[in-house]
Amino acid sequence: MSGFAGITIDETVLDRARRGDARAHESLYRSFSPAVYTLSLRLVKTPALAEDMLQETFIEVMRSLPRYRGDASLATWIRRIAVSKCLMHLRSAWHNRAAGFADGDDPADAAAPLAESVGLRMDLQDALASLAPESRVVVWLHDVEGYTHREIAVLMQRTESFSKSQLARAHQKLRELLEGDEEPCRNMMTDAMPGECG
Amino acid sequence: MTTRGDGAGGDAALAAALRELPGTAPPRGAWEAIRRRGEAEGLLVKRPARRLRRDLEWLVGGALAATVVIALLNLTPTPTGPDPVAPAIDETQFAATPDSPTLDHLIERSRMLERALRAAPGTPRVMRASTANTIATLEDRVALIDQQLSFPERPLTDEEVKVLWRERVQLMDSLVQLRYAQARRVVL
Repeated sequence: MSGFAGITIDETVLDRARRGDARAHESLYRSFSPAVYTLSLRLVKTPALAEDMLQETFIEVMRSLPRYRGDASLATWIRRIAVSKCLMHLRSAWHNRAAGFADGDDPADAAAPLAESVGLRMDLQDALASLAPESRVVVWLHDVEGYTHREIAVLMQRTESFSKSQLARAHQKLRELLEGDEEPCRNMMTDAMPGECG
Repeated sequence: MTTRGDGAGGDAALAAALRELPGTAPPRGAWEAIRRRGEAEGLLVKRPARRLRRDLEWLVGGALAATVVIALLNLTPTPTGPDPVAPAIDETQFAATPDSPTLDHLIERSRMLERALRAAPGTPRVMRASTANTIATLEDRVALIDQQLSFPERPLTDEEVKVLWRERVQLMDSLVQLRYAQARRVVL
């Protein structure tokens, strides 16, 4: 379940935060930071970068909160800011050079060499982290955060069919990475669907 | 149904397992860094005494920065001749958008223009003030549209999203044309 689900903020805290009250913003941070940090960590992978994204997100919340009118829930709004910050980072020039995020290469295949080289004993968390950035983003936004393909396409400046094909290929790649590894499968399924691993 | 199976059942189990992955707490001290930055950028209300001190610091810092910039402008040499190598310009990348483009068309074209802009020759050291101003205005308007697309105050309709993307493409188109025209002037 998305970490943003079920978080509610008192209206008076929100009003104080809109006026720049530090304690109110700290309260928002305490409520939302685990969800924002987890999301960021899934998308950008490394803890240091995830902390940067956490900071950028809450600074943006401070900047934009006076304009927030409550048409979407606060959780949805903050999540959208976090996703945008992560995507901005992943689209940045230096990151593109390192990871080929937006150059039209075949991101779903990028995990294959790693998987083959380590003998494929991965749990789901490692398997997810080993996907190429675009695949990882699509999988997480769709499967965990509940974004539609249309929303993902707009966020990633790609087409809807791109999102769909990325998801299908990423699922396939994750299954391949987990294949033959009984333990991770058992771990993975313990909470989700007990007894279906064998 | 298992995660290893193909098809929708396997996908659903995989998605369910992903949703069950544990969350991670942010590092200790992260809020302090955010609070300090929020205060430094004037986003958080501070105590009056500290605010006055910050204002004075900004005033002094701003005056120093302005002095340094003026000194640097006076010292920067003007170029003695054009860049000897003409930039490679692929005219086909500026092909017109169809009359009634779909959202997918617009997004794809926007991406293509982003790539063209990244590939554009570097900004010349000396630029007319009016050109610099036009470029800055175009970039500001693109950033504003990105802001509207990324952080809408309310959910946007498909048509509103399309209008924003169409405007983004037009602005990016102007920006790319300007950058390449500028590069041509440097070479000629």
